[in-house]
Amino acid sequence: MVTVDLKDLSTREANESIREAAARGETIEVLNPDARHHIGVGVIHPVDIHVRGSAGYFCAGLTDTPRFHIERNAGWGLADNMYRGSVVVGGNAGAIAGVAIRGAEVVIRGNMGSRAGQVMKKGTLLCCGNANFMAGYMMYGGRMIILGESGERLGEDMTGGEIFLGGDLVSLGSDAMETDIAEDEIDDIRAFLDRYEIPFRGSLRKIVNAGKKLRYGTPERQVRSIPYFNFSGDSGYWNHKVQEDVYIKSQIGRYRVRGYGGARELPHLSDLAFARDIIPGALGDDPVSRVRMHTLIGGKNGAKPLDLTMPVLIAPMSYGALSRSAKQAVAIASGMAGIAENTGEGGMSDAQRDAAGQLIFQMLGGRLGWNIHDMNRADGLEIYISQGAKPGFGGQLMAKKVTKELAEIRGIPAGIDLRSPSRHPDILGADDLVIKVEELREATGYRVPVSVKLGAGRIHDDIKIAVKDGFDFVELDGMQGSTGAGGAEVMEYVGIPTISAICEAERALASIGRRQDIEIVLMGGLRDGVDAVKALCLGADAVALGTAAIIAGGCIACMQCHVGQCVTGIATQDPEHEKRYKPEIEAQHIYTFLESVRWQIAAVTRGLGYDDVRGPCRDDLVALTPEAAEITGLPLCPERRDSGLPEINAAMERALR
Amino acid sequence: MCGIAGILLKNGDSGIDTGTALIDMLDGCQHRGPDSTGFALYESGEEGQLKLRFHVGSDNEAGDAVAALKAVFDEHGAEVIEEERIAGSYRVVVRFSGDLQKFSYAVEHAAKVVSIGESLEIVKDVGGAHDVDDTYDVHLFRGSHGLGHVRLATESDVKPEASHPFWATGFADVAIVHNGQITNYWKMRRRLERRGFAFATDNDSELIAVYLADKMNQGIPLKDSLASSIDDMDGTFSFLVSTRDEIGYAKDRLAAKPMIMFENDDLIAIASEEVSLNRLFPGRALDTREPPPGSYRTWSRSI
Amino acid sequence: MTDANLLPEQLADDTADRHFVPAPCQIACPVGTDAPSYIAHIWEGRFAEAFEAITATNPFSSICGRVCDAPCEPACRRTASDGPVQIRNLKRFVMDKLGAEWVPPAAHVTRDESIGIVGAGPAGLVAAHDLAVAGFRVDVYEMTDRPGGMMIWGIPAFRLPAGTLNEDMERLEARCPGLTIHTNVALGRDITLADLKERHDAVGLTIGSWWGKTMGISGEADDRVIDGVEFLRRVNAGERPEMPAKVVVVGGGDVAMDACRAALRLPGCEEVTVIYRRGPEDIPARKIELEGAIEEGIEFIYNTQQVGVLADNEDRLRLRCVRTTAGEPDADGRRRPVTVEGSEHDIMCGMVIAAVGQYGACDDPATRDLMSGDRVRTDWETMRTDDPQVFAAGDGAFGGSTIVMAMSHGQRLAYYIKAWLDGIDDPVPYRTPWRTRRVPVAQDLKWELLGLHHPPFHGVGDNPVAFPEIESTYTWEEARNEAARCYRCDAETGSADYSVANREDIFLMARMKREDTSRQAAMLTKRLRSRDNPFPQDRPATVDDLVFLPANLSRLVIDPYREACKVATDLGSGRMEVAQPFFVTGFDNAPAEVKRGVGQGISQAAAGYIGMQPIADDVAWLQLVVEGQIASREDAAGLIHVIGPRFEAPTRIRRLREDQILGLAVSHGSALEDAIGFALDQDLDVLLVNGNIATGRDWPELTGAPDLTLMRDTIACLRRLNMEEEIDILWFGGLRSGTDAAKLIAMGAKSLVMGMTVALAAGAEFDESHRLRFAPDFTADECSRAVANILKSAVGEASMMARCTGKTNLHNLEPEDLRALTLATAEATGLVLAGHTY
Repeated sequence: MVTVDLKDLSTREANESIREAAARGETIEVLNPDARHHIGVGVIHPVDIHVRGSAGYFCAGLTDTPRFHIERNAGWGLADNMYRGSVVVGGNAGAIAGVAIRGAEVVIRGNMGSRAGQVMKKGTLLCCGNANFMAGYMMYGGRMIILGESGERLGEDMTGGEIFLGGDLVSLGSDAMETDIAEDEIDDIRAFLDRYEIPFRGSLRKIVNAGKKLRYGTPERQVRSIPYFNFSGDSGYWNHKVQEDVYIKSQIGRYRVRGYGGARELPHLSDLAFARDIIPGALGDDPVSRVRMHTLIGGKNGAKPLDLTMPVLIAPMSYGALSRSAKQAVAIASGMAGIAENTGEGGMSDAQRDAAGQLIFQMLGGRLGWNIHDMNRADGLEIYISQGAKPGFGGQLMAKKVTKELAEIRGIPAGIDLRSPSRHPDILGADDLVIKVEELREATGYRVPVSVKLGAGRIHDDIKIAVKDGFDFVELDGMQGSTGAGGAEVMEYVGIPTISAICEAERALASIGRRQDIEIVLMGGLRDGVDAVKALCLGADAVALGTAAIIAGGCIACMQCHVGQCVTGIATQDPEHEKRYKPEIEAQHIYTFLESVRWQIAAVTRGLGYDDVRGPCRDDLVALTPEAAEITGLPLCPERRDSGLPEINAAMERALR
Repeated sequence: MCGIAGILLKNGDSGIDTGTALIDMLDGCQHRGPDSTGFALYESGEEGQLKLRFHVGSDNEAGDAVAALKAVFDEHGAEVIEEERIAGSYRVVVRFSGDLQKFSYAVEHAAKVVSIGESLEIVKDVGGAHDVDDTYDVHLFRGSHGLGHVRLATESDVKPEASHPFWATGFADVAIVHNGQITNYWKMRRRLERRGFAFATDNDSELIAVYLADKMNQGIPLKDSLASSIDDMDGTFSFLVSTRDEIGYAKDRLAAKPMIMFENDDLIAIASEEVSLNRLFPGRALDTREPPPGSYRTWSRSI
Repeated sequence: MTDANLLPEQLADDTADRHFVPAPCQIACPVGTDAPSYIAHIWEGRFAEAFEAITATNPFSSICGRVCDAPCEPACRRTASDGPVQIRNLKRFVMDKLGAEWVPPAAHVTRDESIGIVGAGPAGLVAAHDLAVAGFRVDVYEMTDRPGGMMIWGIPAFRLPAGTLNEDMERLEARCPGLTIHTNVALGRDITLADLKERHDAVGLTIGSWWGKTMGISGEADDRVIDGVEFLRRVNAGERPEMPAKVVVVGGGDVAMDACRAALRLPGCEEVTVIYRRGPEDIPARKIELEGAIEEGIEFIYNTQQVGVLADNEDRLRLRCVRTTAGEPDADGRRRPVTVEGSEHDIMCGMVIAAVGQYGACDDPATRDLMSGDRVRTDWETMRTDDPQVFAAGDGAFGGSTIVMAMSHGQRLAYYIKAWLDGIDDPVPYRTPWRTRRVPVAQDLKWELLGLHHPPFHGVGDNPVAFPEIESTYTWEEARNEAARCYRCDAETGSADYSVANREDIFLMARMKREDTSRQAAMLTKRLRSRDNPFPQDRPATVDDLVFLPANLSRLVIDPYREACKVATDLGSGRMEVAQPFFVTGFDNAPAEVKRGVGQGISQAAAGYIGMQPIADDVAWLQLVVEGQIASREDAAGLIHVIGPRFEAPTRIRRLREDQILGLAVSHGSALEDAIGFALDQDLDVLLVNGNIATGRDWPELTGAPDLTLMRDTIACLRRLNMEEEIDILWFGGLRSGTDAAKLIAMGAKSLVMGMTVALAAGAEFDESHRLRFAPDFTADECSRAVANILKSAVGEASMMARCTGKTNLHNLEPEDLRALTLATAEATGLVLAGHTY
């Protein structure tokens, strides 16, 4: 027995002791917890942990196999994402008890707070007292047992799983219904109650998903996209795109969904030019060997930074939106190029982990595929708040792509039109986020950087929060970013352009004097080394490439990613289609593309007269359009358009054919 | 985005001092808001006297501000009884019997008002609960009730005047602390501006304070004002409001911002997190409650 | 000078179009065939258009439909996934359908100069064609008895049935009245170069590679050893010689393939073996020919090199061979075969056909001076020979190649001859012209699903000696499915940032070596070029150039998939409560059936109607009143008096019942302030702000983008008067979606009036003069469903925007939630540019 007294220790010290003792297999006693947060997070050994008092937020969170015994109350997010093992709470639990559990047994002898079991996937959550409102909100699976009153809107928007209710039903949630209960289910529950020595003689009723909202109604007719210049710019107000939209919406009665990102021309880095002529000689020799490009990202707060051979990362893209093969190709390429890859929403696969040299593990609101073991083998953690293509919206994965295998990894029922939650169960503001960031740090021993993925919107405010919440870096994604599926109107009309985002972020951070406290990785419509250098000039510490990497690896930009039968095998889960993708060949292409990006970054840097990629700055840029000038505050010099560039001669042109 | 706390001692002596209680509660949830900390404290004052608190800044500008204020006092017939400068703030007690709203808008032009009231005094500054206490001796307050707030600035700047609690400019003794974000801020603000109210900051919490004060000024009871606020305010909010004799809360229908209460015969304590309530009763497991979405309630002290 | 003069006149050159990037298949085609367009036309069933696209740059389309080596297909991007689109077979499908019938318009002689071409093979005939089309008189001299060259003499009938060439030749002759072909005229035998120079202003030599090379081994003089070209020539002339039972073909090229397959079909032949000196990965034969040969039962022995021929007895030959292994790479990158010591062995057979290469020859001594070895010495950059009046092209100038490559040489030859005759010494270097017909992308639901489908393969058939065709063409359904598979790499996609041009650059970047500095530099230079300003000064302010700021960290997003957002709308302080904010307008003069359908749709969607007349009994109706023209009606939910360009106070504005809404409709900035003043004065309920000034047309929105300054000025005026929200604003003009609606609500509207969008949903279409017409075949039921759906989707989208910005009520949207993307739009709306804050 090891005793950890929180009276004398910081939570971080306490958790280190707890994890060490757990690894030795010793029973642990925590004294004077006084509702402190994050007690016992990250434990992955089957030991008994006795909390002598009340625990705060996220007690037993991000764990696998331990057995927690909390004498009194527990705060928000009890047993967050717990895989196996158990938690028994003597008193009450706060809101979102049992959030995202993946198999654990959580027993609360008193009452539990609102939204209990939100996005839980597997395991049992038992409340002996009353539940507060919206228990089982968005649950995907598992079993919830409430012996007391249900609270309002029980099973609100549940997708799967079962809720058993012993007390009064206050009200049912949207898309929940009562159904018959089977004898063996009752036997199972009795056995469970007996195991935890809970006397209950009453009868139970069963609530399940009613199945009305799992799939979209009338399917949307799939059409291939109209050329962008037919509907943006100077084409008519009632152009073909408008007509097509109206026609399709008049058939389905809802917004349209598609893949890719903002389609129209928006203010872009292309509207900037370099203020000085590129020194022609810079292109002649091997600029890569002459420019320092090595970049560290994420080490601001003592974590081990990502160690990149150039200031480039792969943007987050999920296994789910993309096929396993496509993810594998990107991972291999990123590893070869010595940069970092990102899991996106859909969890981490062994193949991806092995192939990618450095891998950021992304956490989304649905906690699909999120777990402590993969966190431990990640090189960075990332909290997804939103993305440029559809800020404010959760991901969409149409039923066609929600295969059995994929559903298994994500912990959800197969064959649903998956509309991921738009926000996290336990991040309802910047203040909660601070606690969440801390939980991730505690669980992984402060080893890896924690970043935030942020779709560009109210950046002036959001970026300041990001720095105050202690993130090591932010992946800032302008509205030109892409997605596997999203509402077309959202892609087009929500968020601000990437160029606006970086400028606003820089100004906001400067206004509070905190620019040096966070690193910015800019993404959203960046396609090459030229865009990358311009982004670095505007203040980004690194850039991330997503769509461009996919295109390098064979994507043809038909924008039908959401349909699930991608012709190239990239955005599909259909094995027949995936077979069309040759990951080894495409990995080589993506790698070659990244190397060309590297060459371009080096050549431009050198062409501007620097030998370090951190050299080029705002002074090296001018704006070519009034909009770009106004957004960036750079001088408007339209006369710099295409001036001072090396001539493309016939031989050069031939070189490209 | 913040942590909030409130306490009301229902009947005199309960062995708890409001100042110390609030400091402890806020210290317990300081992680929710490292930018600034503030307190709204109620101690019965003298009839016909007003306690005023201002942000006046550093030496030179402070001198000018105080001089300007005194001119306004003279103009409005407010007689200074006691005065004190603490850090960048200025506290003054005046004898005053005129139109409070006019008076307060007038002093607002001279310096940044923190609070005006017969019993209310607001103390707020950048830094943590203990930092603010070190400067302002919050622990010495022994009043009947009070609110507290730790702030993580989201939309407006980190300045003492943008800290909470907010006083409802023009209305004595009304203060609020708020956790959340009002998303129809400009629409609501313009509505109130059309009704003649001036805003000292761009902070949405000030909006709530003014909104409630306006309602109460129209004779609508605090409880009903809270009820209508749930319909009129959009976004997320858990807020606490205090008047001379009451405290109350309202919570939006999304119930996105945490709030937890503990009530016994002696007191009602409300905070963002249980960890704050636990500070009042170390080592005790409390029977706490979480208010449902879209709910509101008030408590009065027995006078 | 441009090459446009060489193009059929009906086609413009799209290569100058900044949006056009040719597809890889088109780039790979030596004659620049617009394959994506003809494939797309096939999908549409527009065969004549497909035919036009096929034949535009290819006078031998019927030939190519069958026997082109189709370099387009390996270039096809779909090759990498599930196999290339069958571009050649699709061409054949069209040519089989229309090739025999089509008579192209004649291109008459317009020039004085004449040109002589020697050799009526693909290079010569194509050059002749292009020059004739350019207006020259052209004479072609052919030494055999018919034109066609290797197209007829080199390809056996099972691949290319007799008569196929005639289709092409008939078209060629109809197209080119100034073209004369002289058969049985051989250079050096019947005519000299001097004669030609005398007779013509310029001479083009396309003499081909007519003769088969020998193997250069001992014993090959045996008459049972023949060269492949000669063998094919005889077979293709109609001979069907009796063959020995076993035949060995030496070589791995196309001639070897045709020869071995022809031999197999001849009487007496039982077994054919092909020996090739390298491995299977290096064999130059087209994959499809190779597969066909294997399918037909021909044996292939690789890594085997012939070293001698020995007569075994009268019936049998011994072909002595050695085995090889792959050695060091050659200049062309293929590995040189290296003999394996002691691997000598014999292959017994009755005949050896040597298909090891071809050479050209010409007996004219004058020509001989112009030759190097067996080729006419020709400068590729100008197609000139050492004689300034003489040009050359094709296999006879540059060595053995394919039919389509020879054709492209012919085009090149024509280009430089014409330039010379035009007196241009230094013409713009020739490049294959790429054009596109801009055919819309096939909207085929199966395009992603369908795998490669070959037409039926018949092999040698029941009567091999008759050389029946080895494969059929597609059925129409098969052709359509195959056409649907096309990625349409030529067609621009919907993404500006990842336009075809940008994508092709990325694609190339993914395929260039880092150390290949010249390519890297060229690409970088290309990437450094700026795009055109997408927001030129004359671009109007538009609602498209407004975006919403999403809630993220600073605010809580309201889950658009699950959480509620109120949309109920109250007008006139409780006088009128509507379930949602939309009104419909514009159907007063619509056909009765349309009106009925729209009325039902509005009713289903719980929206309202604004117009001179009601649209349905159960739809709340705001009556538009033009004083002096129409009387106010008591049954209307509201009365809206229409104000003209100059404000005149309505004199008869009054409620006919207590809950009736009263309001004004304003379309002109000139009347705005007075109208607002009057409306506030009279305590009216609503102000209908019309962003598309009515011009007496049914659909004023057809005039284009609405004038957003009216909204800006309305709100500014009300704020100035401290009366914002004291009157409810209805906005009409240019609302195409719920997003547009949400933007106008954020800018200050309470309720929204939709016209055109509902009309489009109700089945209206634009006719050729861009006027709106209702489709006659749209039933009232379909119409009502569509109208209800479009309104439902608009409500959904609008509330989606609201939720995304963190609102639980649509009417809580604020101007501060919006940002402008252009200065013009910022100015017209009074909103700040994205990237700035208030």
